[in-house]
Amino acid sequence: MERMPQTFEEAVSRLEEIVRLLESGELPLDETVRLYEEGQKLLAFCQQKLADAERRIKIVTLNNGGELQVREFEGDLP
Amino acid sequence: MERWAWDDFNEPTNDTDEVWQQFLERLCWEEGRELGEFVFTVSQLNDYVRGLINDDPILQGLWVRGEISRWQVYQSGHAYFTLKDETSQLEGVMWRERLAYLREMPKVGDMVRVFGRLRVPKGTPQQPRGGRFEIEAERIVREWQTGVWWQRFEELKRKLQAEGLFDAERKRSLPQFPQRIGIITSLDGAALRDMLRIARQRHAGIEIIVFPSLVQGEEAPKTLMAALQLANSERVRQLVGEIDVLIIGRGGGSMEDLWAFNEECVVREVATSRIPIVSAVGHEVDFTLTDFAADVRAPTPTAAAQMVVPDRQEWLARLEQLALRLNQAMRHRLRDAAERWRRLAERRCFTDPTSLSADRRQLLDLLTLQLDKAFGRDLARWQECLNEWQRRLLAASPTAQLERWRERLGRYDDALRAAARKALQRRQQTLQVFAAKLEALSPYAVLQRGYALVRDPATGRVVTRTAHLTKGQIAEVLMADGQLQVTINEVMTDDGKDAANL
Repeated sequence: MERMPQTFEEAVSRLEEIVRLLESGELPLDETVRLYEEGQKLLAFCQQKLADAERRIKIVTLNNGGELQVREFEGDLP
Repeated sequence: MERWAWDDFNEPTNDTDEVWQQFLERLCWEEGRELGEFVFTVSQLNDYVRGLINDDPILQGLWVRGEISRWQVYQSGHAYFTLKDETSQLEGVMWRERLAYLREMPKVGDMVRVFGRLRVPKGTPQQPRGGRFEIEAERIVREWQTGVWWQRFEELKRKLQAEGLFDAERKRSLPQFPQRIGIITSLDGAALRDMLRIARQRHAGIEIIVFPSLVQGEEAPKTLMAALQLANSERVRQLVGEIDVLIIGRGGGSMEDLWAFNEECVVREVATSRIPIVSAVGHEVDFTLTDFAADVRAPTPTAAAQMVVPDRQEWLARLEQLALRLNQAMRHRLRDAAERWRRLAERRCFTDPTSLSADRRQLLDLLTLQLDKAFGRDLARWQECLNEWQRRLLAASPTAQLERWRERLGRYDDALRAAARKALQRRQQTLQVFAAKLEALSPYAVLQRGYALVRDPATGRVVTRTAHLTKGQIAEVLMADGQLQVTINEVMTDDGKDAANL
């Protein structure tokens, strides 16, 4: 099995490549099955990314002493 | 547009007529008169007119353009001015508090744009006033493209362009699927809310880091620069993780309001940002140097958020499409394999094993058994898998969602087209004005008025001194409708004896 991609973009482009390879129909059966399995893992990975829970909005500032401060955005969003 | 509180702003009423009717009736009653024969005092009339003006929403907040023909700052610190055009003038006042916000003092002769409200001044027994209206100015900005600022803008643009800061090769493309987005803008502005709202709508799972900054006024360039450096810093990367793309911007305003985004230090910082950066300053028609320096210019903050934040639904649909193709390809491949297997099984050696020797027959049985086991089992497993995927696919049809995005895109497209058309029209008008000015400066326009130019045909240069011509030489005389070729009869230089006789 190939290494799993780190980013969504990588995953999608690998998935597209796999679909193209499978659609060519020229690969041996075991290779086809291996790629199909990888494709399914990639699909699950991407869907997981898209299902990511709502993230908070952060505000980053420097205080007077030059230290980084992170706080959450307070306020209603429509 | 921000709403300002006026201390003497009348309570807004829904039924103005009725209020004034009551006002009149009360006055009549006080005077003991019938309604039709009421006589105003001067103060009453001024009060009445003041009320009319105060109740008019247009007159309570408007921009007016004109040339400053008087500008006086009194000891009190308030400024009194007159605005004029070809046939009219308008008195105005700008109070000390507002005056403090002016970037530069207007001078007589400046073309300006004033934002304010109309008012009828109220007098006192010591100083009766009224009977006229004036504009109470909240802001005064130079008319863009005529003033010093336009020159500064153009000069800086040329300079940075020459350095290659705006080169197309420098532009990076934006990531398709950023995990973390940085926004540099004011915490109080509508721009931030717009961007956050769009981001939430498209994909709430994307992390957003806001780097607050001032976006107008003297301090704005410094804080914008600091925010840009902070967003790009290693410390922030370690604290919150890699930021994939930045948006820098603010909502609409006058050119004065947007000026911080034309300051050299800000533009340079944008151009050297490590993180790809989108500028979103003002409306479609506003251009700042930050726009030129950024990797991508968005027409508005809202549009920037649309460009940067991936749409969750859109990606889901794309994934579903890929899943469908993956499964179809697999199914075809399996059917293909099954077909070959079947054909193999129909071969004579398999169908009529008696044709083979006993040893080989035994081997064949073994092989068939193994093949059956290995392949048949796998086939069943994959078939099951496929069925499961098919069920899931059918459960989530993307068709309706696709339709919705298509509609949204269409609306956005229309708005963009309209804005582009408007911008083009404006540029054409500007061009026409410049063309007219150029025309007026042309030496050929002077020829129309009866002047002539003398040219040396050998060099093609215009001759401005008699000493440049000698007797017997051939010269060209240019007139409005053509030219003459003449021979110089005599040269008389002006020391009392003037001109070259032709």
